[in-house]
Amino acid sequence: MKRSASATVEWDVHPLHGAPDTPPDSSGDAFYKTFLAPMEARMLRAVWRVVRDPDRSRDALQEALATIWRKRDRIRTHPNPEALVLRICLDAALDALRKARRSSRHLELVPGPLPELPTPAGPAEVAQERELRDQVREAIARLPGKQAVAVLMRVVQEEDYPAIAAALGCAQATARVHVMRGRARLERLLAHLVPGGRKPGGAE
Amino acid sequence: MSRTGPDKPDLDALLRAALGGDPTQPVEQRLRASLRPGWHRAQAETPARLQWAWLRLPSWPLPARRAALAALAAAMILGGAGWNLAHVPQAAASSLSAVMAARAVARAASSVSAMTCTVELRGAEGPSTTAVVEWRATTGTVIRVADGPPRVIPAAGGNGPETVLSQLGGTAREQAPAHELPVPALGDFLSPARVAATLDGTWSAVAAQPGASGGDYRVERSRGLPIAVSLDPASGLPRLLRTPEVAAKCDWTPGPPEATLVARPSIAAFDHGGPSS
Repeated sequence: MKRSASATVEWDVHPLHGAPDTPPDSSGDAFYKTFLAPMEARMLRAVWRVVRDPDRSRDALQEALATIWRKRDRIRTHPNPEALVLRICLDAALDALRKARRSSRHLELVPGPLPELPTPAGPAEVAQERELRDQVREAIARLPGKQAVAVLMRVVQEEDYPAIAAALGCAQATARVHVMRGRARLERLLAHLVPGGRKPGGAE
Repeated sequence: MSRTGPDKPDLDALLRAALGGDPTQPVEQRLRASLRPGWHRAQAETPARLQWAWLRLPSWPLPARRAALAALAAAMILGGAGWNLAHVPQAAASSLSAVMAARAVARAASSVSAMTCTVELRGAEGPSTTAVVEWRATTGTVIRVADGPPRVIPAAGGNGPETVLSQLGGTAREQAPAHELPVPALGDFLSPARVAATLDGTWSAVAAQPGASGGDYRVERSRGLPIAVSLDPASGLPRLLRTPEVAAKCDWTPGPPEATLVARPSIAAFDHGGPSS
């Protein structure tokens, strides 16, 4: 029997009694119910849209959850906890994207089919869409962190500027600058794809 | 959506086309199902993340993953009972960098009291095999081995380490009480469990905390004695650093000789090569 179709590994881990990292407790559960459960869909979609790979998305979500756990006190008191959680998820997704980019410079960032796209007419269209997606993700991965998060939150997640500013911990005007500069850089990087886009400066 | 200023509709459309959309329903279900377990793992933090990072291994071929699981079981046995890695079935240790897996598990196992690993290997015709490895500091190791009907190996109630080994095809090494074990030579290998058992009688003696010297050193005090465990780069096995060396690396005041330990584990059964691709 062929066994290479898929494999999953699930872990349940319980720390030592008295170890610094306590096992899942009621406060952790309460935090999850209050802050994360209502955001599950947004979290996983935010990660998925950047990473586009089930395994890597799960890894990125795991990293995001670990970060959220460490920053739970800050999230509790944050003026916009949802935006902060979303930012953490996007940071983890961008890290995963950059890691994939580093490990496969000359390979596709996204292996496998793209089932979430409308059914294309043929393999040429599939290849074209994949190439487009990879180029955009490659460009996103090359943005500075805050610019990338700001652009993703604004354009892809359609968050408003107050939320972006809260997530980035800056003023709204600064958030707008991050978005503007991110867009400008993307225009240069993707000039060949954007009608009227600026030509690449070469330095990018 | 109305945008002003720097907004570029063409660029936005391109970004949304490339980065928009949602995962398919199965993918979304899978991701959603991973969130709560992931939250629990996050609370376990360091050991869980180490395991996650090492054992997800999405790019590894299936045989390597299976072997990683087996190596995990081996490391659990090693860590939990101070046994010899050579007792691991040969077939289980093939085609992977078992050293890497053992290293990860040695790190993780030193600071957790229980681990459960369930692996499903799905074939084109449906689930083909399942392996479950459970280890608990209090009761021992329960392994349901992949391939064929899972073998459940109870760990307690008269089915102790010897039973586990015999069912895995190995032979138990004679175990001596910790206080009767020979005093180790400098740089001898040992399992974290043995360090803990020798020093403190508990696993908590060796915590997965970065040592003052960074890197792979894990340093903790037990009964007022500084100890350190380094992971040997060649074997991936934990190695005890005795007090002077610890002091030199961690800027601690040397104390009395701190430990006795187990015999040097053999890694002869392992293939030291990386995972085949």
